[in-house]
Amino acid sequence: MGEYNGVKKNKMIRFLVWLGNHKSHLVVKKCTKHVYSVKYNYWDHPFTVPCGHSTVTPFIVKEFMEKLVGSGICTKEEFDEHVK
Amino acid sequence: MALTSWLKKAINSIKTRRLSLEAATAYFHKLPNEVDVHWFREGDFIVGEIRADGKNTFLTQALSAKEFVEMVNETLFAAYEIPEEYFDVLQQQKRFIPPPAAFEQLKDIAIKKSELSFRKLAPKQLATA
Repeated sequence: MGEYNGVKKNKMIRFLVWLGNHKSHLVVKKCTKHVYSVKYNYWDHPFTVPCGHSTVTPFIVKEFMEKLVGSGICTKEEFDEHVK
Repeated sequence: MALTSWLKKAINSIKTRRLSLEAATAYFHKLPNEVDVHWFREGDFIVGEIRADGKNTFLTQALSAKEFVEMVNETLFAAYEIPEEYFDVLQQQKRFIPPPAAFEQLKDIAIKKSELSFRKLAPKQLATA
């Protein structure tokens, strides 16, 4: 189906926590029961990551990867290492 | 004003939590007035691209039509940084609900993608409903 098929919620959450702890200007927050937000100083608005199911859909994972890599926050290799 | 009196009643009804009317009003106005959602099916999921007030875009996913509506609302509350203690109060007044025909499309698994618009209910509409 795609490169990011079957990314587990727990891996995504661990990655989000890692981002918050290791990347400056980035704030990761569990906003609601099922949604995390990733706020970056240079973005107009936060990126929301739904974590209420056992997996995160490939579309959302890919969009998140492109957002992070496009902003220079992490490399694709770093991203893949954490979520795959 | 209808909004203020409604918010006061809602806040007073929640006796166990300390909520501020001023904050509730501010959060109410912070939320977008309308959202447009482009959704499609990916495996078992319904994936939504939520466009709020014509500019900001957020993503969400759900396993059913009913859950999708809930997740759109939850995503917007998270994206606009509404504190969780204000959810109940604000969702009573500013819950984004799709039109019935659009909701039926969400439920119909034969329909693979579509667009829908959510509009918040105005305080006056709720008062007379």
